[in-house]
Order: sequence, then C-alpha cells, then structure tokens
Amino acid sequence: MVRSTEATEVQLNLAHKQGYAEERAEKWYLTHAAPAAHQQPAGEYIVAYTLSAPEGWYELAGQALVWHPPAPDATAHLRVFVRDGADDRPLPGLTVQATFTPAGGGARPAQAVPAGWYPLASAYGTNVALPPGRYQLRLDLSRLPFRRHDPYNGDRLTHPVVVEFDQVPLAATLAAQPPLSDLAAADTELAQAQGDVEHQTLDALYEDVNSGGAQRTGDYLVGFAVDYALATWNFDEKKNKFTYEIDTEESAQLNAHVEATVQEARTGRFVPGLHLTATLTGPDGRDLGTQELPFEWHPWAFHYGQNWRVARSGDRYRLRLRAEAPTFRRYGRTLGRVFERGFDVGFDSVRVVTGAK
Amino acid sequence: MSGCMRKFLLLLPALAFSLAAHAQRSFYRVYQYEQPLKGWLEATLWTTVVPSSRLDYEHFGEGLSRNGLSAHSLEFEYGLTDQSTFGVYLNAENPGGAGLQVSQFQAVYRYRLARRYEHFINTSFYLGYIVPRQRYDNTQELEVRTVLEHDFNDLRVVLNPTLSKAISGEEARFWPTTRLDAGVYYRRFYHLQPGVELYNEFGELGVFRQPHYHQLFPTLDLRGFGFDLNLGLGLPLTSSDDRLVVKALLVYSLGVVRPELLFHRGQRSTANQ
Repeated sequence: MVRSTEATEVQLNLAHKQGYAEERAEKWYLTHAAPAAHQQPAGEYIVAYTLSAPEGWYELAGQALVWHPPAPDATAHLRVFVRDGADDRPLPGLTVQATFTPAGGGARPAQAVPAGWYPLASAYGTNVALPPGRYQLRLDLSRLPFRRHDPYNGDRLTHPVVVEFDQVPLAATLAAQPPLSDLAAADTELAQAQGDVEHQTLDALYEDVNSGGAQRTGDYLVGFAVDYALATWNFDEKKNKFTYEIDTEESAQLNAHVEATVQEARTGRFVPGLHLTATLTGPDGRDLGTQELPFEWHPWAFHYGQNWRVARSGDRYRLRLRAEAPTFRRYGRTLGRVFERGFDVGFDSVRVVTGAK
Repeated sequence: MSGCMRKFLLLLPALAFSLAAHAQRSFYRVYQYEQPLKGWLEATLWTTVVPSSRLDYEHFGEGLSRNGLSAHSLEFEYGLTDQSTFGVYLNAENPGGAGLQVSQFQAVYRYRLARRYEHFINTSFYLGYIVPRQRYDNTQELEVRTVLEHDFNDLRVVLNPTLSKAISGEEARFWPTTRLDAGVYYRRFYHLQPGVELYNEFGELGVFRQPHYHQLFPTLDLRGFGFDLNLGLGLPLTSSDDRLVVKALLVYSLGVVRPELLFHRGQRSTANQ
C-alpha cells in the first residue's frame, strides 16, 4: 500500500505494526501445531492453517454464554489465518470454506470455517471429524466484502482466492492433546502486544479526525471518531465488482462520517463481527436518527462507520453507540468467556464539523 | 518626442485591438480544489456556443464574427499523485458553421497543497501551456492559476486569480494579463447543484484605461450515471462581451488506471509441505 489521501507514511507504519503483532501471535499457533501448519501467500492474501486438538467454545444462547465442548467425533481443530499481504493485518469478515481430500482421492464435503475469537489472534476455525492420514486441504476465500475508504488503496482484496495445501498431516494423537486455546493462556502478552498497537493506532485516529475519544464499558473499550463525510468503494452486485462512489465527495448531501471503534478491554485487541448502531442527537435535543455502522476497511485503522447529514457545522451532538453481544464463537475455557453482553454507551458534546473529503 | 515613443503611440490602437481580440475566451471553467486522485483518469468534453455576439475575433488569420461560434475541447487528466495531475487538451473551433478545425493544444499540470480542510482555504495551483497551431496563431502562452476554495456549510466559494503571459509571437513583449474567475455553488444535493460563476478579465498587468470584461454565468451541475454535466448561460456585464454564451462541460471519470492491479489479484495458490 502507498501513501494516499487517507494514509500518511506514519499511519501506514501503524498498520504494519498491527500486522507484525498479529503475525507473531499467528506464529505461536503455527509453532505449537507443527507439523500440521503452513503459511502460503495467495493473491493479495497471506493464508495459513493449523490443525490442532479439537477445541471447545463459548457461544451466545439467549442472554448468556454457553460452553460447547468439542463433539465426541471431532478429531482436530482447523484454524485458518488470513492476513493482508501488503501489511500483514488480519482480514475479518471473509467467507472461508475448507475441503479435505484424502491421499487416495474422494473429496469430503466442503465445510464452512466461520470467524472465531481466539485468545491470541483473529482467525477462522472449526472442528473437523476426519480419520488420521494425509490430506489435501483446499481453502476457498471470498473477496473482502466490506466497503473501503481509500480511493487508491481501497481497490484491493476484490477477488476470491483458492489456496491448496498438499500433504496436510492429521495425527491420531491430536484428540488427546490439550486445546491450543487453553495453552495460550500462558502467552497472553502476544495478545497484549496487538492491543498496545491498537491503542496507538486508535489514539492516532482520534487525533487525526475532527472529534474522537473512547470509554470503557463491560468487556469493551468503545470509541468514536467523527470526521468529514467521505466516498467509499462499494460492491456493485450488478457489475460484480467494487466501484468508487463519489456522491459524497462531490456534494454536501452527506457531510459527516461517524466511526466507532471497539476493543476488548482486557487486551485492547480490535473486536470485529459486531452489529453496531449509532444515534445522533442534536444540541436542541432533536434526534437525527439511528443508523447501522457496518465494518469498514481502512488503510490503517479498521472501524465501523457511516456517512451522516447534520444541519450545521461546529455544533455539539450526543452520540450513542449500541451493539448486541457478538454471535461468533469464543475459544478457550478461561479466556473465551468474554462479550456475554453487548454495550450501550453515550458520548456527550461530540463536535461535528461538516464537509466532504 | 523620440522615435521610439512615436512608434509606441502608433502601435497603441493595434495593441488595444489585439487585447480585445484575445480577451474573449472560448472556454469557461472555475477550477475547484478537487482533482483526479492518484491513478485516476478523467475525461472532459468542453463545449462553448456563442449564439449572439457583436464581437469579432481572429480565426486562422481571418477576422470573423464570434456570432455563431462554437468551440470544443477534449481533455484527459490523470492523477500522478494525490496532490498533482497532468492533463492534455485538444481545442477546436467552428466559427458560424464554417467547419470544425483544431486550433490549439494545451498541457496542464495541477498541484494542490495539503489535504482538504487542513487549512481554512483549500489551495491549489494550475500551470497551463498553450500551443496554438501555427496557422491559427503564433502566440504560445503560459497560464498560472491559483485555486482558492472554502466551504460554508452547503455553499462552496471558489476564486481563481489567473495570470497569462504570451511567451512567443508579437504579444510576448507585453506584460501578463490578469483574470479573476469566481464561483459560488449550492452543494446540498448530489444530483443537482445550482451555482453562479463570474468571469473577469482585466487586461495587461499595470496598464490602465484598457477594456475590462465581466461575464456572469448562472450554472447548473447535473450528476448521475458517473457523469457530471456543468451547464452555464453567460450574460454580459459590459458592452465588450458576447451578448450570450452557452457552456457545457461533461466530465466522466474513467476510474483507476493502475497497471499493477491487472495481475496477482485473485488466484489459485498451492503449497507443498
């Protein structure tokens, strides 16, 4: 990636730092799962897999987290790491499918590999029930579905990718080993390192925009950043490609961009996969509406965000950010017990300066 | 009175005519801070029609009326970086239905300072080099334009103070000429943006008592389907202006042109362990 209207060299360097911290954690998994682990560049992605002991997980059932031990027939846990080849940052929100083909042929049905919350790194994962042996592992990765900020760097990660790993060993002994997510409890400094860089990054973001800040609520550190409205690359279903929609750049129809950042309070790691809404209330108490803030790819600071229209520049608003507890699986008997609740947090006196970049 | 002074006085009417002849421009645009970003290519088709004018002008050595003149220009502008662009123009004229003829070539470099809103006034610079066809005119010209822009909520105010200097031909010995173009646009809605543009020409720098030209253009920007159509109706504010001018600028963004993106995007990758 290169300098652009959305990213300076210093800011891009922050993205590299995030990637480096993430890569260190990924290496921990690859080392502990060896030899059933490998990393491979593919298109604009860097993809890695590990096969390790089957994992249990917490998942939301109604209002509470419920522990799901691995199914009795589970023989391994497949973990897939997908990072951006340009800066090594993890890429959330992809659709990942895994197909195992035994050495003798006869591919098993493709299995979805959903995004999960692991104690040390962001990854996609699922338990598999396969007999021991050697397999070819095929991973089908979708394009990154999110809209993107950057007029130059945003036109990336737009194509699906297929990665094949040959001679993937699935050992009979895996089921008897402790899950990696439990072993990870001894090396949480790797997660903390990602959080430290995330703090640096978001501090830089709050500094860069017109108005920003954060506060802790429950398991979360929730922040906001309000800046000028901006154009984004959006996926056009008809054209089957991303197009840069300049409406925002060339008018004042939308004149502010409201962003939200969510970190795990304990480590500081960014929390993807949330359904987040924002409500703006004007200085006269008038409600300017509630909008969903979808996840947005950004060249150096991932966030949730949406363009907005406010009446006058310089006024102070109340911003309310809300999210339900995430639906993804949380791995790790101890460290996985997080995000049982969502959040509902308000920021007063948020100054909104209007304009469109 | 010295010989030089006498020659100068004799030349004065010719100079006045010359300035008048060249002061009436063929293309009208108030440049804004916005320009193609790095890697982006933009095409613009400029059209100006003069349905009513009492003025004459010189076209390939012939003195013709501007009445019925139409002028066209095709421009391609490419973003070299997020701050700078390079553009080429091909200008053509069709005086009163006499047939379209290419008249000038123009190269333009634009550079903008900082990021939008980093300063109270968004500022950029424009350097144009105009090369006419030899038979059309022997005056090559340099044009330096400053773009000063500020948004007041939904209103955008833009000023383009400009200096033009002939660098070859007979007019090269004169001081630069000065212009000030200005525009105010109501940008509340994307698809429809009304505005007003004012084009002012003050003639040669430091020379007093020469004709000034002022034209007022109510404008309308229509946007959609990737196109931006800027329409304007030019009304004279002095007797030395065309009585009516119609202008249209059709801008189309051709998207990002980045050769490296043609390769290595989606692919199949195999690893042997």
